[in-house]
Amino acid sequence: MRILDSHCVFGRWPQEPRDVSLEALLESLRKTGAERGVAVSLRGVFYDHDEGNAETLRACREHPEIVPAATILPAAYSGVEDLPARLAREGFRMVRLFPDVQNWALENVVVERILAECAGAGLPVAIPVGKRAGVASAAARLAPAGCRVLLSDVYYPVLAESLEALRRREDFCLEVTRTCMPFAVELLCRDVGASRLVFGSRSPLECGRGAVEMIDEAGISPEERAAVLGGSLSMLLGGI
Amino acid sequence: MVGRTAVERLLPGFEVVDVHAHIGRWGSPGGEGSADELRRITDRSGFAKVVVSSSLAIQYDAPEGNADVARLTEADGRFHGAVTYNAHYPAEAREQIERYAAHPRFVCAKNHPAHNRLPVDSPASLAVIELLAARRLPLVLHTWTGDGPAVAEVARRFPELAFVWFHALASDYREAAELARELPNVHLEYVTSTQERGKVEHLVRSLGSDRILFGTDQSLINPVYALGPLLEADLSDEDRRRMLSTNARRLFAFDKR
Ligand SMILES: [Zn+2]
Repeated sequence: MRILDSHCVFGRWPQEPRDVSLEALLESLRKTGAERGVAVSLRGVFYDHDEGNAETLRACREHPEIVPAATILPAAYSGVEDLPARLAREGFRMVRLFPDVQNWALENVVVERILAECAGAGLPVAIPVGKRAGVASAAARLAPAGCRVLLSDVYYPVLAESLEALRRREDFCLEVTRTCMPFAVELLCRDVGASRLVFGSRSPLECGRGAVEMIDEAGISPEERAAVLGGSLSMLLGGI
Repeated sequence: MVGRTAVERLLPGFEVVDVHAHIGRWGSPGGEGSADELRRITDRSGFAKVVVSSSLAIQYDAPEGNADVARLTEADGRFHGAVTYNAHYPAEAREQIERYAAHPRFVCAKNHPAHNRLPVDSPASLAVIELLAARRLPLVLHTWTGDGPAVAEVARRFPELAFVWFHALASDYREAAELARELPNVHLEYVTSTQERGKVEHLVRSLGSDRILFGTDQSLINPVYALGPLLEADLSDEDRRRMLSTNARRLFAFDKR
């Protein structure tokens, strides 16, 4: 079954001694059994999004198993109009935001503009939820119609809130990896449907094997399994 | 896949002991958290032994939750109990510890300082740990990022008592390994829903595999998900065997009680 990983990064991790090099990511994808991973350069997260995005494109040209995702730092998004349109033209398939690492709130009006421009450019936006209450709700309220949001890194205390966001917003989908409670995969497939569930490991910071095994042994149909492991993500990105 | 357990599929030839499991609910969507459900999940996981405490006991009512655990362990030989106490209630804590230390299916005590909002090195908590030390009843302790100095100080004060630091201080696991090196009575169980790559290897490299235990935190975490880091880690079969069963059998002596 085809495994596609929606949540990958590469570069350096300045906050802890971690090997998150491009080589570590490629190795990590192999260990997870993932055919391709959607990745962001961490240079763009910790330093400068233009430089980081350029690095991501270079890495993807060299390694076809990586699919380019761009990032935008709201604090630096000034004096520029419609960066997402340019990113889409350059070949990026998604934008991934990092409010947790960069310490900003979704209710920022700059973020509202980024979301609207991404919707216009047809780029899905991945937003990490973590364990923080209110993030999924804010995304559901702030994202303009047609903005496809992937709620990412959703932990158990905010799963109910994230599911409610998906119920209200047909254009939202959910990363299943961290929703690791017993029977959660079954519940999510029943509740929102496998076509809105995607696998994403946060490789190489984390291991993806446990989530793959969890999806593999869940009491869902083979079609649902194929969707969650890769089909839904491919669809979200317009085919990869 | 049908009819085969997770252990048979993923770890053929290994015995798996889960030292960190619960019955009860956690205030999130997922399973129902009943004892019957845990038995069904264990049929599927194929774990040989599971050490269980109650989330009801941890979050609200210790005696009621401990009684639920006792019933499960009496009904099914795969399960052993951890008696949960709340040190805010010293008389109740003493009574529960005395009752379940004498129960043949209970192998340890469990405390969750964060849920009780009572630091493990507070006078009330230390008074209960003294009772455990006198009985040599191992203490499995919820630990998290930032807890290192307090849990280490407590382990230093009671060298005769075995401790298991659940979650191995979470993202402070490097500190956990370093502290445990100096504290031979401390064991580490490393599960969290964040599955940091390299964590298991780091623990084994810096502490050795003799004092690392496997735990899942089910009914909060799917046991198959919890196996992921161990499956991916670059370890010898001997290290895996120690972590998955030998160390837990030595610490909890399931059959001698
Ligand atoms: Zn637990």
